[in-house]
Amino acid sequence: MHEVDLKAVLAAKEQRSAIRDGLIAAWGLPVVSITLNMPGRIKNSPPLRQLLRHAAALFREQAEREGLTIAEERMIYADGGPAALFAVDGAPVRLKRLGVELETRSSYARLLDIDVFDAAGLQISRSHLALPGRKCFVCEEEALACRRSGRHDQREILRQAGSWLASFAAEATNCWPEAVWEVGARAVEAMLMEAACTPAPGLVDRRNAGAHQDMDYFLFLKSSSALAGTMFRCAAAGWSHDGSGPALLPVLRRIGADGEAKMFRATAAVNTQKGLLFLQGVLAAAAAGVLRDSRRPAASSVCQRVAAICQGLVERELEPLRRMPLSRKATAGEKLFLEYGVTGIRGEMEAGLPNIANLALPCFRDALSAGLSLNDALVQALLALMTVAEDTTVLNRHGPDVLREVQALAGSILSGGGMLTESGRREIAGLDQLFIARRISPGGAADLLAATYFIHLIDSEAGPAAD
Amino acid sequence: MTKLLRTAQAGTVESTDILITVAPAEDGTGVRIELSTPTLAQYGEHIKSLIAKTLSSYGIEDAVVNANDKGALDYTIEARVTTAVARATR
Repeated sequence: MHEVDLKAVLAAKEQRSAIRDGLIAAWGLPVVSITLNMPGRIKNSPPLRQLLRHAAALFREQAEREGLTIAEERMIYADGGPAALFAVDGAPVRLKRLGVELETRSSYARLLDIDVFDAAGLQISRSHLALPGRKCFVCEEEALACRRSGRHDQREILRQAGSWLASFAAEATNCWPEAVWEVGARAVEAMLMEAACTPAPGLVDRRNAGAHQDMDYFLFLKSSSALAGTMFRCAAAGWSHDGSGPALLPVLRRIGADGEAKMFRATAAVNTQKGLLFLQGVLAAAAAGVLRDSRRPAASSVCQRVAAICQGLVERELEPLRRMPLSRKATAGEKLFLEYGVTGIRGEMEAGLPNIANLALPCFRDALSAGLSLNDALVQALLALMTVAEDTTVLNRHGPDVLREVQALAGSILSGGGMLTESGRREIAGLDQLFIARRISPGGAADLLAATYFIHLIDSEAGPAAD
Repeated sequence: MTKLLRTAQAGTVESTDILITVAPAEDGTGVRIELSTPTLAQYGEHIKSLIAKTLSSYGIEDAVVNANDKGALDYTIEARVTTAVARATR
C-alpha cells in the first residue's frame, strides 16, 4: 500500500482500458469492468482489494443466477487501483442493469464503479437505462458536476469513503443469514439453561455438582461457551444444505468432531456435553433448515427434520456393532445397545424426538402457563423426561433396574404435582440428595431437556423469523 | 510551432477520465475541438478552452481534436492532452 501520483493513476486507467479492448477483441463479447471510486492518493491496499474481490464475487454470483456465461475474467492489482474485468455473454443493457443493481446494493457499494462496454467497445451508461447519474459522496448533487465545482473539501470526501470502507469491513464479518445467528444463539441458550435449572436431581446445577466429582456448574459454562461456534456452524450447515436429510449428517459429524475437541480443551478432558453436542447440533441444523423453508417454524416440523437427518442412523451405526467385536473406543451408547438393545439418543432422534414432542414440551408449557418460573418449569420438564427417557447415563453406571427405579420415582413425584406443589418441591430436593448419595446422574434426560427448551424457543411466537 | 505527425489517443472512457484523440490538420485551419461531456452546459466552453490552451502551450496551432469526457478534472485533461500530443509528434 503506497501513495500514487496522477501519472500512475492515469497510466493504470490506460492499461485497464487496453486489457478491456483485448478481451472484447478476443471474445467478441461485452465486457463488464469493476473498479473502485477511491478518492485520495492510495488506490490499492488490502481493504480495497478485499472490497474489489467482494464485488467481483457478487457479480459472478448474480451472473450465474441470471444464466449469463462468463467467458473470461481478469483480476488486476495495479498500484493505480484493483480492477476486475469480465467478458460476458449477455445483452449489454442487461449487464449494465445488473451493474447498477450491485452499485446500489449497500451504502459502501457507492465505492464501486461498474462499467459495461458492448462488443463494439462502446460504453453503456446509466442514461441508456434512463437513470440519472450517480450522486456525490457527500451531497445530493450529481457526482460529476459536484466534483467539478470543487465545493467539498477533499478531507470531507475522504472521510465519507473511509466510513463506507468501515461499513464494508463490518459487513464482511456478518457471514451468515440472520436465521443462522438466531438459531445458533438459541442453541447456546438452551445448553446454558439446562445447566442452570435447579434443583436438577443428580445433575450439575447452580446449587451442587449432583452425582459428579469432576465437574461443576462453572465447567458447564465453559463447555457451553466452547461449543457456541459449533452450534452456529451446525445451523449454517442446516441452512445451506440442499440434499437429502441423511446427507447432512456426515457434515454435522465433522463439525461436531471439531466441537468435541474444543469442549475437551475447555474442560481439561472432562466429558460434560458430548451427547448434548450431538443432539443439539443436529437440532440447530434442523431448525435452520426449517426456518429457510418456512417462515413460521413449528415444533413438529423441526422434529420431523431431525428424524429426516437421522434416518437410518440406528441401522447404520448400531446394528453393525452386533456383527463385530466391541472396540475399546465404543461410546456408552454403543455398549448399551449391545448389552440391552437400547437405541438411546440415536433412536429417539430417528423417531423424531417423540418424548419431547408428546411429553416434555407440553409439560414445560403447561408449567409456564400455570405460572411457574422458567427455572421451575425446566425442572418440571426434566422430571417428565426422567419418567420416559432410556437414559444411557443411568444405564451405563447402574443398569436397567436402577433406570426403572429412576423412572418410577420421577413419575410418582410428577403425579403428585412436582414443582407445582410445595410437597413436590420438597420431594424433588430429596430426590437430588438421594441421587447424589447413590451416584445417579440422569444425563440423558438432561440433554433432552436442553432440546425441549430449544424447540420451545424456535416454535414460540417470539421465535426467530427467516431473513 | 509544432506539427502533429499522426493521429494519436490518450485517456480512457472510465469515469473521471477523458479520452483525447488528436489528428493533424491543414496549416492555417486552426484547432477544431469536438467535445462530448456530461457537464456540457456548465463546463463545455471551459473544457474546450483548456484543451486549446494546452495545445498552444506545445506550439500546436492546427489540429482536429475529439474529446470524450467522463467527468475529468482540469489536471487530468491537461495530462491527457499532453500525452496525446507526445504520441502524435513522436
